[in-house]
Amino acid sequence: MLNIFKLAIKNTLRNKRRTVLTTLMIIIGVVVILFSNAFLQSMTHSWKDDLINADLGHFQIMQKGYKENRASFTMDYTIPDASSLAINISKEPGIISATKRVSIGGLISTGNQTSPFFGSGIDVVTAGKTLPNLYNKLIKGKSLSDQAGGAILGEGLARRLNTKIGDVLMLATYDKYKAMNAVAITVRGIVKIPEDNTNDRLVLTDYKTACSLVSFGDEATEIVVRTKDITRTKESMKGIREKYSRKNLEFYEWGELAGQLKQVEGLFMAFSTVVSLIIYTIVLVGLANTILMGVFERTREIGTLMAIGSSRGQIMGIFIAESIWLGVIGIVIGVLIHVLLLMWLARTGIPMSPPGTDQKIMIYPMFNWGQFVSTGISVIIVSIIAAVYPSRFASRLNPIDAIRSNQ
Amino acid sequence: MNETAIFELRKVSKTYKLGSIAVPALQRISLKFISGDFIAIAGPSGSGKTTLLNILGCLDVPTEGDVIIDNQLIIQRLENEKVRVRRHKIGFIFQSFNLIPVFNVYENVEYPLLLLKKPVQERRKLVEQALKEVGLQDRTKHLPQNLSGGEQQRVSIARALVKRPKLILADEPTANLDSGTGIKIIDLMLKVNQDEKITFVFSTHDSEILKAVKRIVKIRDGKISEEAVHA
Repeated sequence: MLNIFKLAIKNTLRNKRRTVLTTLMIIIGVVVILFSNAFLQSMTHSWKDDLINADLGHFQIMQKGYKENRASFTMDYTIPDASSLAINISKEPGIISATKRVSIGGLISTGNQTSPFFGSGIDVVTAGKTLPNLYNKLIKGKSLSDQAGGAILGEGLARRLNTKIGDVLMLATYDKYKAMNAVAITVRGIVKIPEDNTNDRLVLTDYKTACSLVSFGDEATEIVVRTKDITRTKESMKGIREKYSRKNLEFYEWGELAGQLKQVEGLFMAFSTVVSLIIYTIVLVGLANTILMGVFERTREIGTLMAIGSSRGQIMGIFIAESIWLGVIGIVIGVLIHVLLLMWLARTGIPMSPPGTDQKIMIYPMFNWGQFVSTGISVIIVSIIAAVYPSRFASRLNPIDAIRSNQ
Repeated sequence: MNETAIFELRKVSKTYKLGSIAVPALQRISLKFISGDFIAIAGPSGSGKTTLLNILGCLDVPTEGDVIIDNQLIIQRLENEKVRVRRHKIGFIFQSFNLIPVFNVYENVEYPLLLLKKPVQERRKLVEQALKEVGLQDRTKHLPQNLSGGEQQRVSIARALVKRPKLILADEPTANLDSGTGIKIIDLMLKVNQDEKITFVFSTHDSEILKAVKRIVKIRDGKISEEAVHA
């Protein structure tokens, strides 16, 4: 086995230019696959991080039936005794905090201009602990205080209504009794959300104001929960679900609530799979060509090795080893370049505008061991497959014809 | 010739097909070789010398007849058996030397021992011994391209004899060498033959070389035309 690899390594040094070009092709392939995956993953990771820490929490509790109807801001499925439930859940093991929330939607008016809105009424005391990035995108004003009647507007909505900090606006919607109701709010802050639809409609107000708008008592449409360890969310959720099973509640992990993120993740995965497949095909054809040229150039040697006593399997092994060796060099150098690229980008970042926005966010691609291992294994497999035809061809040569060739 | 033959061709024929035309290369050849024999197969180009060596070396399959190597009947359809025989019992010397260009002298000679899975210490001892026998012990690190034709052929001889085979087959080993070097190569082969009792069968049509050989089998049109033993 060792002598096969020794011969394979020496053979790759025969035609240095061809070896460099073939290896370069593999290196570029490895870098493109690793980097595109790292970039897309970091993008979704950053989005996921933002969603979890500014909106979804680690998991949410809702009244049975609410999730299916929440797009219409239904008031028919509310959690009763929401305050005590949130307090009790925040005391459960593995939980950092829990906050009650009322999701609302309706019309917002300055008196002269009216626009649709959606948003929520948050418990200003517990929301910050549960959703630490809640106010990260605040570009004007300040966060909500425990003084009722304040509101934070999306930058697009504020622009559309031509409002500024301190302006008083009206929120109007149907309450839980299907009666039209309205409350006055004072603009305390403006946030800029990357996603246009949310930026043009978002209103965050305090829990009391939201309850007053929809005529809630101590009710909430959802309880948002933050655990100590997001990777153990399922376990934490399970314990709480068992304890509160009689309350007709439903529990949803963040992933079940991030439909759009999941869609984009799926799209990115499909994209990177297609890119990887194209690159693997190019590497496969290029490597196969290089190995086959080697077979044609060394036909007489193949015949000699057979005459000396090399088996057909050993002849195949020489060319497969050669292909694997080229693949391994490509992986090692490719990974090295990828790591250097990531180290550089860790300082500079890549400015990106997420789809549907004109806002710039910085992406910092991360090294992913899983991706590295799977790309490495895939390149090795591709190298082996690339060598199958040429090595089989070599092993099936007639030793006499092979010895006579190139003479 | 009273000793028992350990290599034998029994009524071996070989016919090549060129399209629909059958071209006989060997016709019912029977030959016996005893241990330590030193035989030249002589004849003009196309007479069947190389075909005979290829069949004896288990590289080619006879159309009919039997091949016996080291008292063992070779079953021609068993590829693994032929590989095993070539690996263990036969050494080859080629007209164009056929050294592995990326291997140095030492590695070229060592290669057959790697196939036999000999331990490293034994390999070193055998390679050094073989190189000493051919007088190349000081050239171990040289690549074939840095050697003269005569030196390359000596490496080829060392590669053939390093595993101490029962039989060494040499197809026109002096054809690419000048006559002086050719004679030296034949002398070297003769010395190895006498020292190691390895049977040598080689093809040639060089009359100078034929003078140095004791037994000559002449072939013409695929048949033995003459068998002579020099005094």
